[in-house]
Amino acid sequence: MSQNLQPITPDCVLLKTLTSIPEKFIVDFANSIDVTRDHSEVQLERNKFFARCFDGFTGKDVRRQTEINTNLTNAVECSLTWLTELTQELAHTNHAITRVNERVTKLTSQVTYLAQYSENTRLRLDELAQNLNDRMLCLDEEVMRIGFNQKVILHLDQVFNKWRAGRLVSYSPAGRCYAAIEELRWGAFGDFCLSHTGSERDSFMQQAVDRATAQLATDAEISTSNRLSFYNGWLQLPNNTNQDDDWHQALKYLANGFTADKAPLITTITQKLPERLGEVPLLANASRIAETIVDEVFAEESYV
Amino acid sequence: MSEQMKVGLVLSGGGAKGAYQVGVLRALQELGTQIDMVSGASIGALNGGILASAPTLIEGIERIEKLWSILAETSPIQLNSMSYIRLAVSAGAVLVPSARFLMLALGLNEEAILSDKPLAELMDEYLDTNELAKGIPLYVSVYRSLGATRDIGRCFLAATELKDTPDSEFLHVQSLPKDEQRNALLASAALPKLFKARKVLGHKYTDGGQGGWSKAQGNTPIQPLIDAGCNLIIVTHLSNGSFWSRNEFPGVTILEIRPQATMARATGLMGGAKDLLGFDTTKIPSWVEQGYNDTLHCMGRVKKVIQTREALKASKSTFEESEKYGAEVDIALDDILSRMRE
Repeated sequence: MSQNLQPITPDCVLLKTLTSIPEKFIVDFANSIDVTRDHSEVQLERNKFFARCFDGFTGKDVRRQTEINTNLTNAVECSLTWLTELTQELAHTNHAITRVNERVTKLTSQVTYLAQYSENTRLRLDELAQNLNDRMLCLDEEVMRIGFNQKVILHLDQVFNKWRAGRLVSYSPAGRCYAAIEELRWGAFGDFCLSHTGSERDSFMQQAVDRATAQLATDAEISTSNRLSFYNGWLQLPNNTNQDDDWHQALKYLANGFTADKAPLITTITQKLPERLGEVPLLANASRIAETIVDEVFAEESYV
Repeated sequence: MSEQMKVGLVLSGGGAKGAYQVGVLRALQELGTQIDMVSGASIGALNGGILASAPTLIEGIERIEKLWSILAETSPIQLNSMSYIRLAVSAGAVLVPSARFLMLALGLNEEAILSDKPLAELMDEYLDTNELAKGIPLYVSVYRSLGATRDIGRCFLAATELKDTPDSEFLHVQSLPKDEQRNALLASAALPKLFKARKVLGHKYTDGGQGGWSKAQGNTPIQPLIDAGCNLIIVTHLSNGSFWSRNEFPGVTILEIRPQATMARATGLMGGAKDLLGFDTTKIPSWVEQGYNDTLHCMGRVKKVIQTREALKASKSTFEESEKYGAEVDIALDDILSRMRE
């Protein structure tokens, strides 16, 4: 056995069971090495004079050499067969690698397209999200606005229902109007009208004026177009009413912030100062009283 | 491959060197090699007989190992009447050409020098003809005898390449009548002059290793295995540089197990004869070990190449499958992308 060969043991992986018929040329190729070596070693050993003479005489040396040559030729043929096959396999492999390379290139192009598509989609999604967000904000605002308007209307109803129900009966008609408008100012109605401008505000203000006008006319038992004495009509307290009771004190307190020059009607109503009657009309219809009180209450400059 | 693998094992002849085949068989069994039929010449026929009559390969190998351990302790060689020198010279005459002249000088009578009684007794102990009938097919090589002296003469002419011996005949042992089966095995191992020829089917036969001398046709009985349809044949040799050639059988896949180092243990002019009859504890274990190692070496070399080739084929097949799958995926991807581009 050749010295450079590693010993082979039965547990070696390559020695697991031979389960199918091996190809002849492969077995010949591998096995002929051992056969040739066997002959070559015998050839080397038979170098004594008698052995050489005997082998020469009998032709054994020629036969052995022929056997070696045949095996070598066969081995070369097997090598050629295998080499040809391997070359074909290599060509096949190269073609396969080329195909794989083409696929990878194509895949790269497709991935690039997908990445671009993905980026575009992302941008469009961002845009959509922004639009949606804006829309949602608008909707929120709209909902809030609707909700606020609803509160304003409710507040308006609540205040005028209260007036109509007679809960402000302790005051003069003008005092009732001021008390109602002052209550509107400190609730949802006031919040809206003081923080908004435009047609909606004007509409609410007009509603307040209209409803105050109607209620004043009702309280004074006159039509809305009839004029009434300011002092003896609009400031006339109901019978048995004390001007210094808590109701009137509260009304005065509410009007503390108004100055006579900027809110002459309110100060006149709440303080009932006869010396200032010259600054207010002697006769006025309900509409004028209501409009003036609303204007004075919701005018910023009316406050001190 | 779809063809069913049918493995034949050829056990060639070589006297006590037949111990080498014990190692060969043990290694083949450890490697998981199946053996579907066996043929043998001379000592190979006796080993083959025990193997074929065993219920399993493992059992057969164990029996052969046991037999050879007995042979190492107790030689089956028993002289008939001749002296040791005459015996040795006669035995050597078969293998060592130079001794043939001495053989002639010693006189040519037809009486066998050795008794085959010990061998026959061992055969009776280890070979069960009933089991043999159920075992794997066994072929033995036998040589039609013309008398011991003429047989040796023909061998002499063949050894000097003047005229080759006639081909040996191959007998399918299980096809023989039961009482002839034992004779066929003993005939295959009956070295002319050393052991007496045996009659089988009315003919006298001696050692099958003598036939087709120049090409070892009789000593390496592969032909019956080819005829029986084996498509892979493992051939074991018991001598260095055997002239048996695989190239004579181009249609069959043959795996030869050749000695990778010298088989000779004895030295000197009669070294060959001493090894031939060397049933002793110093030689037999070494031949067993040599047979084991050589088998691992020869089978290993072939299997390594086969496995490499199988791996290449498997990788090619896997790649083709992978490529086919890749093509399907490509079509699916192309389809999706074309829809995206719309």
